[in-house]
Amino acid sequence: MFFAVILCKLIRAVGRLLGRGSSLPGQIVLKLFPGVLAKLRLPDTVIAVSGSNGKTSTVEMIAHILTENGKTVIWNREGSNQTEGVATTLLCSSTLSGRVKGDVVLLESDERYARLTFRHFTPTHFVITNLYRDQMTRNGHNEWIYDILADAVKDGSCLILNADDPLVAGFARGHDNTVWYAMDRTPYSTDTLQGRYHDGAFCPVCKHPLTYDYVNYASAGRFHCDHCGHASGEPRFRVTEVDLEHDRIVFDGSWPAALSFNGLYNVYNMLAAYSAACLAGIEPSRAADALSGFVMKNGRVNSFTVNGLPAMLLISKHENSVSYNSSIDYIVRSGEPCDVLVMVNAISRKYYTGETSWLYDIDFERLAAPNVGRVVLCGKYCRDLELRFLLAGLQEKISVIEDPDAAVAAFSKGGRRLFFVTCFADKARLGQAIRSVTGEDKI
Amino acid sequence: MSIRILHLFPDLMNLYGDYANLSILTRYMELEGCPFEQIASNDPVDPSGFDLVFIGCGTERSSLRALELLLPFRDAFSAFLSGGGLLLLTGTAYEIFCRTIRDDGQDGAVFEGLGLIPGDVSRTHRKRYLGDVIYSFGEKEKNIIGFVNKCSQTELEGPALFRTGSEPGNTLTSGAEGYLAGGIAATGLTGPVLIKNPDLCRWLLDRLYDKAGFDPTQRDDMTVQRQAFEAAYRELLQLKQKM
Repeated sequence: MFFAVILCKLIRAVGRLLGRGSSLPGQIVLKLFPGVLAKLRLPDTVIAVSGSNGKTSTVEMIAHILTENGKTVIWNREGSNQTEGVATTLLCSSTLSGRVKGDVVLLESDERYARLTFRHFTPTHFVITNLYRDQMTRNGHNEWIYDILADAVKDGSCLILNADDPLVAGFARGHDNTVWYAMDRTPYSTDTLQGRYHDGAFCPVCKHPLTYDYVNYASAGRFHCDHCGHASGEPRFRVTEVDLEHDRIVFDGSWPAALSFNGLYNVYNMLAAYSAACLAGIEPSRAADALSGFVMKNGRVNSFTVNGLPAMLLISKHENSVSYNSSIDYIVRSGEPCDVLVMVNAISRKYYTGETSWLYDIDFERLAAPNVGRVVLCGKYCRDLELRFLLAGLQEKISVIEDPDAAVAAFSKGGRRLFFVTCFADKARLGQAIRSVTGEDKI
Repeated sequence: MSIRILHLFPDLMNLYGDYANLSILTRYMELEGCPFEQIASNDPVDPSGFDLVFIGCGTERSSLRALELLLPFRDAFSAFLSGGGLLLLTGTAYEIFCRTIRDDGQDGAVFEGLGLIPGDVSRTHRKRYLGDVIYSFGEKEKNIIGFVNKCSQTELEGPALFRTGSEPGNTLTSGAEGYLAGGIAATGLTGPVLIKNPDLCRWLLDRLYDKAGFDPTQRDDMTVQRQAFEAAYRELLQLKQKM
C-alpha cells in the first residue's frame, strides 16, 4: 500500500508539471498493484454517480452541498471517471497506510466502467441519473448500457434512482434498498412524449406500450406499464414546484432554491444532488440553500457580448440529442428575437467517427419558432446539417458557411441576440472563431 | 397513381434516426412531382396494398417484440413481396426477417424468424461491433458509407446488398453485407442509410418509380446530399488509409 500511494502521488505531481491528465497515475499503479483499490480504507459514506447525462453536474452539486455543510469531500473533480481516474483520486487522497482522508468519497463513474471500478469496493450510495441516447458510436444503445451498468449494482449499495426514467427504474428490480427521486407535474409537463423519437413509448421490461401520467422532458415522467406492472417508484425526494420564468424550484413542498440555469434537465440534476446529500446526512433545508443559485465551474452556458449584442454559448454533448434539445428548448422558450449558429466540426474529441445519424434525433424543427430569425450552419459537417435543416423544412432560415471564422463574422451582423450552439468537441474551435472576430476573451 | 408507403413500428424500431430514410425519399418524391401517401403504425399492419414497407433498427429486445407482433403476418408479407412490393429494412429489422435468431441475451434461446431471408442470426451481447465502414454497391461498385452498430453475425445463403472488402459485414469475414432479392433490400447498417448514400437513395427511388409507372420529367441532382457524402467519404477514406 505504502509504495502504491507514494508512486501514485509522485506520478501525479510530475504529470501536473507536464500538463498530463489524471488517469495516468492510476493506470500505472493499477498495473503494478492490481488489488490496491480493494485494500483502501474508505470513509463511511461513498457516493457514486452514474448515468448518461448530468453525471458531472450532479457530482459537482453534491460536492458543493457537502462542502458548504462542513464535510471534507474527496471527489474526481477533474472528471476522470473511468477506473484509472478513480484510482488516482483515491490514492492521491490517502495516507501512506491507505486510509482515504475526508468525510465522504464522491465519484463520478462512467456507465461502462462502473462495473470494473466497483469490483474493488462497493459504494454506500449509488445515484443513477438517467439512461438516454448518448455517444452510440461508442455506447451501442441505452439498453446495452443498462445491461453493462447492472453489473455494477451491488446489494450493499443504497440505490438512488430517478423514478421518472423507465429504463433506470429497472435497476430497482430485485434490489430492496432503493430510494427514488422524481419531479411532480409542472406547468411545462406534457401529456405525451415529444420530439423526434419516443424511447419511452414502450416498456423496457416487456416492450408493451407504456402509459405516462405526464412527461417532464425526453422520456422522463410518471409512467406505468399495464402489461407487466413496471412503474415509477414512490419518490422520497421530489421537486414539487418549477417556475422557469422566475428561475425558482421547490424541493419537497418546503425548500425553495433559485436556478442559475433554468433548463429542466438542470432541475433533475439538482434533485439528484439534493437527494444524495440528504441521504448523506444533510438537512433538506440546508441542501436546498446550498444549491440555490449555485453556478457550476463546468457550466455549459457562457454569456458574453458580440458587437454590443447579448450572446450566449450553449454547449451540448456530442452525439446526444437530449442535450442538444435542452439548448434548443432554452432558445425557443426565451422568446427573444434571436439568430442561431450551429456548428459541427468534429463529432468526437476522443475518436474519429463520421456518424451523423444523431442529427436526426435532435428536434431542430423547433427552431421554426417565430423568435428565431436566421440560422447559420458551419463546420466540416455543414452539408449534413444543411440536409438535416432542409428536411426540417427550415430552408428559408438557413445560411451555410463551412469556415467557422467566416460563419461567425457573418453571423454577428444580424442585430438580434445571438445563440451559439455546439458540442464539447467543437467548443475550442468555435471559441477561437468568436475571439478572432469579436476580440471577446471570455469564451 | 400514388406510391403508398408503410412505416412500421416508428417508435419501437427507430434507434438511430432510421425514420429519416423515409424523410429523404418523400422529399425527392415531392420535388420530382411523384404523388405519395405515407402511413406510420406502431401496430402490425397487413402490407398488401402498399408499394414500400420500411422497418428501422431497434434494440435487440425491441426487435424480438417486433418479430412477435409480425409472425402472424408472415404469409401476408410473403404475398406482398410476391406481388412486387418492396421491403426496406435497416439494422435489427433485417435480422427478424431471417430464418432464426440465436440470442445469448435471452439465455441462448433460438427464435423462429419470419423466414423471408435465407439467413441465420447469432447474437452475442457482450461482443458488439461498432464503427464507420465503406462498402460498395451495384454493378458499378458505387461507394457506400455507413455505421455498424450490432452484436450479431448473419450466415446468409443468398445475394447480398453490399460488398464489404475487409470490413465487417454479415459476418466478420463474409465480404458481403445485407440481402437483396425478391423485393427485399435489407442491411445491418443502422440509421439514415439513404441520407448518407445518394446513389442508394436514387436506386430505390427509381425502383419505386418503375413499380408505380411514374416517369419524372426532371430528377433532382441531389446536390447537398452528394456534397455531404463526398465530405464524409473523403474523411473516412483518409482515416482508413492511415489504419
